[in-house]
Amino acid sequence: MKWILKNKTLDIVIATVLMGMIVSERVCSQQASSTQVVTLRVMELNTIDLIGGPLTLQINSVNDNAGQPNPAIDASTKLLWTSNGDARKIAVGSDLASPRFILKIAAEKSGSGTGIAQPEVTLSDNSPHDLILGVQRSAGSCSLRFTALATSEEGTGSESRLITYTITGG
Amino acid sequence: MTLLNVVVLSGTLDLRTMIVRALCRQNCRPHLAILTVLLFGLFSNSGFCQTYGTATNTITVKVQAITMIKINTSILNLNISGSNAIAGQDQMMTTDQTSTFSWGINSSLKKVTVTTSLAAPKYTLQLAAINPTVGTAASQVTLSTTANDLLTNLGRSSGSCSLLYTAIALASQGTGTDSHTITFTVATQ
Repeated sequence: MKWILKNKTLDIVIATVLMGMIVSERVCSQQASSTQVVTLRVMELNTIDLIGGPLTLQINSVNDNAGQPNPAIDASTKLLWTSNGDARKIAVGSDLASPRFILKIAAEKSGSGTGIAQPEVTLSDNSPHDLILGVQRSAGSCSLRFTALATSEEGTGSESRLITYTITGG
Repeated sequence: MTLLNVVVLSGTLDLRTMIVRALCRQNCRPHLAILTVLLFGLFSNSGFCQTYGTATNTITVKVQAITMIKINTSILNLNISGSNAIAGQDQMMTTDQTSTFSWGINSSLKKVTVTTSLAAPKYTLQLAAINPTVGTAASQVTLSTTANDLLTNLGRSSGSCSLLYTAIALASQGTGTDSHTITFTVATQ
């Protein structure tokens, strides 16, 4: 009887130890995990760039019928922009307040992205003029068509201008 | 035992001294006295070395399955600003590789998966393990609520890798903030 009791006690002890081992094994072999909080913030950004170097427009021919010099036209420059803001516009300005010759600029929109090209702008002063309106959360591009005009009365000469393109709130 | 030996040996020396003195007093030859002492010393040494008892101790070292992972920084901020934009391109991106992921695993073959808590992120966030010291880096993962493998073939090893986050936003997505809680989990492969 005593031996049986002793044996039962031993069984209970062994069973308890085994269960303990199993439980502890499960606890220890649980899937480990760790966390990291990553916050991604996208600020408002507006970028604008030009493809095309310094440009020279040469007026060197005359309209046979009118007797006036023919305009010089160039559309090799490309304007690029990216904006993730709402209702933006692109304005253009010249650094000359009283230019001698006439210089006109027009955005010829053929690329992708939002934006509405405005009618041709005459850069007759140094104030900004709207070139493209309705730029909205997009990347876009357009060609810039420059037209230089001179009359016979204005004679010959050279005039350099610094043209600035700006994205602003529209 | 050591202390007992010292005591016994010191007692032996005292006895030797006494014998030498006695022999010398009886006008014996000095070399006979020395020989006697040496023989006595040998005899006495063998006689005093006894084992008084033994004891044993069974020590069981049990190493349980241990899985540990750690990220050196718990908070990471990624910003996409004007410097990350190229005019004419809709996509803007920024990267960060300042986080280090480390692990210690002593069980069977494991892998590390990654999820985000953000079910519908506005922007794209990608993650890749770079240059793991052990194991194999999975290809770049676009984070989602579904677990994706980040590292595989991790078995009984400790190691580390860099975490390369790539954030992508489109201009058409506008401005905003995505807050992710990224969970790295060790799972059986």
